[in-house]
Amino acid sequence: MLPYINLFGVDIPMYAVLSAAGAAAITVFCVLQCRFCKKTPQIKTYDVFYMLLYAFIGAIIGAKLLYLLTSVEVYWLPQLSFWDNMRYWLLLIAGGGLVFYGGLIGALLGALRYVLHFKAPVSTMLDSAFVGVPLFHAFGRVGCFLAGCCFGTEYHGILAVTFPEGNLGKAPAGAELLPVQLIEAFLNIVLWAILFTVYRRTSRRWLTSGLYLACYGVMRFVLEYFRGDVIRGSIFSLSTSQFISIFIVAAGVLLLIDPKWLDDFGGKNDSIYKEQLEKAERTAQ
Amino acid sequence: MNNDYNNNWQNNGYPPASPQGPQPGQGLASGSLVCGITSLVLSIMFGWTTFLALVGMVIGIVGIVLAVNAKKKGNTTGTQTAGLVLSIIGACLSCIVFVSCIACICIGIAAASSFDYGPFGTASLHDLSQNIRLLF
Repeated sequence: MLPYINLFGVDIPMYAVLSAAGAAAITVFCVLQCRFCKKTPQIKTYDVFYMLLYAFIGAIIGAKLLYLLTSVEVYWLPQLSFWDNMRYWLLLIAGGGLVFYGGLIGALLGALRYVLHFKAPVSTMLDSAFVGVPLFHAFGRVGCFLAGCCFGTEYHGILAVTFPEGNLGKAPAGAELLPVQLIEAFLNIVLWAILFTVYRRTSRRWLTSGLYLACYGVMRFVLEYFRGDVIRGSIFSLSTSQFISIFIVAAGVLLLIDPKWLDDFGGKNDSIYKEQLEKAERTAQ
Repeated sequence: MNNDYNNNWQNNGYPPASPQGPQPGQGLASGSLVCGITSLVLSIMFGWTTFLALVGMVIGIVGIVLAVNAKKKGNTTGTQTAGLVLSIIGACLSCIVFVSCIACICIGIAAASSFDYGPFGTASLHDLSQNIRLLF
């Protein structure tokens, strides 16, 4: 569709531009949400910002790792020398693609690293971040559509799309396909609106996190049947993403049930964080 | 009023200097500034499609982590802020290259068709090794 945009004489990939735009959108949204939505304990905007930075770092690493695990067929070329294989590995890391679930898991681990290491309130911070995740994902899916990757199955009805010859995402050129990327982007926007409404009106811990994981897991499981790219791997006749979706939905349901053990997870951080803020305010005075 | 006049006259109109000790986490802040500058230079000076952009991204990530740790230790100097901003910009610029579909390079490698090597499509071993050496 529109794989590149030319800025100042340089061809910049649209997928990367939209990913960056999505990252900026989730950052601005989460910081404003923290600023204007009163929660207990009240978290600082710079803590949300730094947690998102850690999450982005984890997301990049996780997305690339899962791609390397599921989409690479040859890891070592025995006929090439050791250094040529090292260069081949550098190409695998620097080229290829990313997998969203790897990014989600990596982002979650990065955010957890931040909140646990710096004693920030776990459930409050993660709940606020999960509200913005579908917004970021919607940008990414539009980027997928423009690049031609993550394409849909063959479809000849209304809104069918065709991708040009030589598209970057290796979508079959000229074939009429379902615009599953745009459908998923739209559903993510709807999910974002629902999560934001719930977040503003609830004080229950882990509710928005559980709701996101459960809803997105189901959405992804169903949409996978409409995806036409089979390079993502398969486990027990399910695609890799469907297999992971089962665990994601299970984790979401667990958070929604709100068991006591999870309520205690990081619970001490709430009082520690409050003490740190009060101490900083006394020092400032 | 007379005391203020005398003080100002003795200091040539400048306010009296206040004692300044080292800020906590200053080493981390300085480290993040160095990483930020290095990451920015690597991502811009060496072009958009070279391997050094990947190195720039890694260094940018290290710079971000150092800056955040400096801030959490209580460092509020301009060094910490500059280090954080430059590291973010450097990492983002490098990331744009990293996230992009550099399959264009891979398509260039897949010259003749003999064996399938996964994401690079089909390429003979000889062509693959030759092209890998040309890139790095």
